[in-house]
Amino acid sequence: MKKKLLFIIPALSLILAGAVVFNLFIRRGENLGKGFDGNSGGSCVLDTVGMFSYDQDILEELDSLAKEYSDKLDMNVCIYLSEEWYNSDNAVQIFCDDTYDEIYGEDTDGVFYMIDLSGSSPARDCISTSGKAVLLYEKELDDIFERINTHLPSGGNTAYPDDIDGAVREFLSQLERYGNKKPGIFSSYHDKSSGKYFYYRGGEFIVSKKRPPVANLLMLLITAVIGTVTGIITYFSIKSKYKFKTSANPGVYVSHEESRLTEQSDTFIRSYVTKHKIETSSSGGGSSSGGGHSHSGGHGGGVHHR
Amino acid sequence: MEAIEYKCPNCAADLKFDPESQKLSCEFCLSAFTEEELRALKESAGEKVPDEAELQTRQEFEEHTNLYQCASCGAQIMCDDRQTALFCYYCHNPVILSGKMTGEYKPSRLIAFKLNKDRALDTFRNWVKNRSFVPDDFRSEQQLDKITGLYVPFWVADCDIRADFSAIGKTIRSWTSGDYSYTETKEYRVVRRGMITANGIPADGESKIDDLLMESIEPFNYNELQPFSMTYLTGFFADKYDVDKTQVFPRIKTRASQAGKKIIRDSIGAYNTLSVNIEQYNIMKTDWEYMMLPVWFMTYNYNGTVYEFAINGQTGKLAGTPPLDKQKLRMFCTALGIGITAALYLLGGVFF
Repeated sequence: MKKKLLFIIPALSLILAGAVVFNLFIRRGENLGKGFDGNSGGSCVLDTVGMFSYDQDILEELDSLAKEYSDKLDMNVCIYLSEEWYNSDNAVQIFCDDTYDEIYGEDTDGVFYMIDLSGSSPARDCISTSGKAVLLYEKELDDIFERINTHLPSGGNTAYPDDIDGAVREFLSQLERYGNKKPGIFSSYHDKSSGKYFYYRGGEFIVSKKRPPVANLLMLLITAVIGTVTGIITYFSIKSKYKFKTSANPGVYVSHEESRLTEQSDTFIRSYVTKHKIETSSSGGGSSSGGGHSHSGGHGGGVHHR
Repeated sequence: MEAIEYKCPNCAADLKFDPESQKLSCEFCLSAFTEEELRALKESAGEKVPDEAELQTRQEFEEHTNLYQCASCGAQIMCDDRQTALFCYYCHNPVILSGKMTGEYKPSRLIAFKLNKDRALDTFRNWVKNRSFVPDDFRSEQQLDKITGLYVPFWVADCDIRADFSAIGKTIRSWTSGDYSYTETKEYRVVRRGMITANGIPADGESKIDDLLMESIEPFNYNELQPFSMTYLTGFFADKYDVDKTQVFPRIKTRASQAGKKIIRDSIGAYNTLSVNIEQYNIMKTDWEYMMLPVWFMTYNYNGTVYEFAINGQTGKLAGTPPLDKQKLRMFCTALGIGITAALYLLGGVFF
């Protein structure tokens, strides 16, 4: 069996190495990104709570502004005013991701911003990003939420049209601020629930189920280190077995019948007891939990508590 | 007044009085005796006169044993005059007939081969079977054909060892009570003294063969010892010793001390710590016997190193250093490293 392994392992290694070369250099993942169709008409402010029933002008103005920014940023922009109550951050995120996909389609470029006007505390505002917006805004969400928050009341308090107006304008201005930044070649994002990667390759934005080349090389480097260490350990482990092993035991030549101990004593001399105080120490800990959901469109995003 | 000269009972060197120990000590093998002990040993030894049968065997040995010498490595091989030695068992170069043997090289007894060549080769094949990284030609029939049935000359010693051991043994017990932990230590004076007898400690008398290799195929069953006869040499070779008993005595002394130490240490109970004050093992008496023991022997020359292999011709116990084909191992480990790298990389695509 050991002799067979001598041939099986190199053969298997060769096949696996071939698969890696194919995966690294030959197979190119399909670009699932659908980009932006250029139609800013789909971008809007959806007032499902009637916040602007008496201020239609403001709503129309905000709606135009959304379309304007959509043109500027080449992506869909949707602001959604909601009074639905969600019991968890995950539920809000799922709602936003799914609603975006329903309106604009999966893996299109765009953002969906939901302002929680349910009056509950905490209020759960949410931003869902899709397509290239994932790369542009994912790392900036905390900053964006922080800036918007200055315009909105804390959870449990009533929001007024002026608050929303300020928040929407701030949101759009933040989109423009970060939307003009070009992500670096090492920038990528992985949506674990959909298994999709978001990255730039040769100036083209890619949404793919295949890892980005930089991540591939990093993965190859890490696995190569593990493989090298395993190879070295195996080398020295096998080499150590090719040593002379002596098993001489002169004890077998002792004649127990002829040998005799003339003195064999174990005499008690003294005893003593030492005493030490036991040092006590305390320790603490914590726990964390997480959750997720499954949807086919790849998203980034986050929920913010007010 | 006539000065009395004492010879060392172990190695036959002159004994000199050591004022410090007040004993007669041997500068060569470091043994030490009182005069009373030496007298007692001398009286108990007596003179042995060879009988007629012994003289006849000795004459037969001298007349029918040819000595061959290897011109390359200098090994001296004996075989009976009905066969001709062609190659050296050690370096496999041709040997030349260099004369007859003298009677002093005739062993008193030997253990005849019980393991034939086929069984010896099977033992070797089984041993090498699981060693995948030996050079390919190490398993070849040409290499296996080099295995030689060899009677190796051994000096076998029966030793009386005086053991003197003294130590402080400690037992330690721990427990806790309240906020305190307690440790109770009890100290004992451990003393062991006595005479230990070790019979049949062997040491080969061939300088070429590695001593550890020969020790590793021990023990031999001395119950099967036979008086020497030329008959047993037929079909086998015998090595002429080039290390006499005086030279092997330090090895015997070390091994006898190890044997004595084992007996003493085994007699001591389970102490947590043992601080030894005195531990001496002095050989008081050594009885020698020169005998030949059966060994299947093979050498393998690889990258300038001679690898020796020996199989006990009586019990089949094998010892030796397997040669390592480093190139083969390097290639295997490289392939393994690449395989693991590739497998982890591909699995990484699934999990990350």
